[in-house]
Amino acid sequence: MKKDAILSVDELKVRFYTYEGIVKAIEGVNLFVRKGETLGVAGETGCGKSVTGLSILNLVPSPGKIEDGKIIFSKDGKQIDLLQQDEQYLCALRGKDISMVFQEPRAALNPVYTVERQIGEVLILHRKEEIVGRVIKQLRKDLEKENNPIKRFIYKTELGLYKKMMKNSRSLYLKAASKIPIIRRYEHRLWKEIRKEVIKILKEMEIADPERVVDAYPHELSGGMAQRVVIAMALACNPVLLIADEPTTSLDVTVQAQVLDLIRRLKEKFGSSIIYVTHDLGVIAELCERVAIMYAGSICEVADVYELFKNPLHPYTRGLLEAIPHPDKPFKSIKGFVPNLIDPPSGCRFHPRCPYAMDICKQIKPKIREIKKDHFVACHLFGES
Amino acid sequence: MDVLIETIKLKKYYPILGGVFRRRVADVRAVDGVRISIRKRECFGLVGESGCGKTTFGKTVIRLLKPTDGIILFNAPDDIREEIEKLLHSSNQHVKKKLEKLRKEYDIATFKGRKLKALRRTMQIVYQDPSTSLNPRMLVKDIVGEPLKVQGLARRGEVREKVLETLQRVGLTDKHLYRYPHEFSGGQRQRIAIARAIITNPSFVVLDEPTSSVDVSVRAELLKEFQRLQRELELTYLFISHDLSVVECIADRVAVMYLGKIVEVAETRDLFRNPMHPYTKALFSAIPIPDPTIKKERMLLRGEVPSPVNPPSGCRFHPRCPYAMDICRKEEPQLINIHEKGEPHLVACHRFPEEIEN
Repeated sequence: MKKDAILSVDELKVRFYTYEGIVKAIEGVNLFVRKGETLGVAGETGCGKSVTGLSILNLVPSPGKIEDGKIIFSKDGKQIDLLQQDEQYLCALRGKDISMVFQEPRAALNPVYTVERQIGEVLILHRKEEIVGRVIKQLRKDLEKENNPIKRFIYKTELGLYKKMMKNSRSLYLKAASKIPIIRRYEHRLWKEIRKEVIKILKEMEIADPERVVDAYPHELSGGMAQRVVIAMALACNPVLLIADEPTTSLDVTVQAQVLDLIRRLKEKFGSSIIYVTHDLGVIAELCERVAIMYAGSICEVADVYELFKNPLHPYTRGLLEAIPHPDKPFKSIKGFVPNLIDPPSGCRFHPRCPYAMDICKQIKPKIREIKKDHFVACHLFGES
Repeated sequence: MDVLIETIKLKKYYPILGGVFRRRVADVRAVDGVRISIRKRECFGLVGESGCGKTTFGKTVIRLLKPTDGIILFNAPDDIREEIEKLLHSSNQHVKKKLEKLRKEYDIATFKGRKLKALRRTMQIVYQDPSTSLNPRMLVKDIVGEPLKVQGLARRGEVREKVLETLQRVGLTDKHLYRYPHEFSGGQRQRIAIARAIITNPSFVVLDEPTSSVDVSVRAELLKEFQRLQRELELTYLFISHDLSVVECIADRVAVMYLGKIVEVAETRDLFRNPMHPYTKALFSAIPIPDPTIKKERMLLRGEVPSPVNPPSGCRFHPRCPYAMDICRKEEPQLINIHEKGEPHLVACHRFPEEIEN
């Protein structure tokens, strides 16, 4: 693990146990992210870039299993292997220290709750103390001013409930209180405070008219707006690391430009690191500082953006860059197909499509090596020199 | 240059029904008065954001949808086109009758029944997502052979042979004949869809975002295929896409659409080098360039595309336009040619004629 990395993935292996066989989706992925940097992960459909993102939060869906590897996250100076932690620990971590933005904003939002409720949920989960503290402060102030004995009694009861909430939010007493009609009203103060906070967050996301959006349901929002709300949810607790899984793929170019601009500015403001998963090399060139290129479940090249676009080494990276249509050049493509990962090619998984394939490529899987400073390649062409 | 297709004031409205009697309460103006002429053997690009009406336009041109209003001339001789143009501006009763007669013969917007079916042979479409446009329960040979059966273009014995010939043309072989669509990769599926479109020997093919569902490495291959087929079969394309870099590479001329209207039409190179309309400028500046060394100035648009049910008055772009003037709110700009010679460059913006005059 690098010294300045906040997250590093070592020899990650993920398999999916399907009826047709075992899909070797991820086979020995090594990655690291430095503090405050944007790492782009690029590759074709089915190369495992999204699964890598999901594995970091241990969210790989059901037939999939993380078989091997380490995911080390440095938190408060300590290094924690996320794969060894229990679900409770991860729940506290997700959305607070590491959060995620998914591709389809409509699918990521719950259609039956308003934006206020959904962002509020994140706040209640991770920033409860701060918000309940504010409510208690307000209550004490009100109590001092109030002379009416009935109201004073009500305020005192509310204060008691909030203090209980501060201590233990899962207490049965509170649960019961929230079921009784008149006593239930104590929650209003909490939601009022949350609403203020949500509007503040939405304003940071440059959403026009946040007072209206707060009360809107997801179907009332346009695609770009919905994605901003999802990003707002992810950034509500100032996470150290944001994993963005193709957040702009379903958006139009003009809206995409707005969202990218927003992400860039938020990164500068909060200093979070970002893992940006995408298949669009144009977006990578605009946004990222380092790039990792994935092919069929493993990383084939990692380098600085300038270095990668100027001096791509791996044949797949070269092919990918040449496949970008350019008006003055004839169309070029990588021949062949992405292999079926149930039965992947032996050795280097790219060898059936590689124009420089040698005998050794068919037998031995190349290890990822540092060729230049910060330029890693997994290819036999660049051997022990 | 011969014109293959010309649309005049083409409109397609989708009704919104409401109330107890399901009456028409409003319209979604998907295509609202579009005038475009597509020349023979060219690839005409149509770009715009989602919801601007480009797919509806593509479907209406080949009469998969019935236009609400307007004229579509397909393969009409030049003199007829000129005559119709002239007749349109007069309101004489006698002239109207004459126009009706001409329209019945040449305007495919009025075609019905057998005449329309015969027309379908010459116009085909390839859809965006081949996994939904191919019937999962049909074999490839049936999918590709179906147009022949429907049109009665081949006898039973000849169908297989013709299907095979077409499949080979798009780079598939006889071993693919007896397979189902799910057995193919995305790129191959799109090839099947192309084979189905070209088997009737059409002269005009609408490509509706044909490369948006495939990967970068396969996309280039498909584009090459389109160019080769166009040369070999002398096809005319209407290439609909939101991916501007693809359009830049494949199209000869490009039209930019915004909220049901064409805002700019020009030759591809000309359009990409000096876009004139503020919307085109913003659209092009939003394309991410795959080169980290180029840091270009962004012209970010504020807000989002307004609803086509109730479009803004005057120029439809004015609420988002950084140069909006008073006249933009009131009057709708017409498409005007701003090139004095050579290829025309049409722009619909109030800023342009004045600037040239000054």
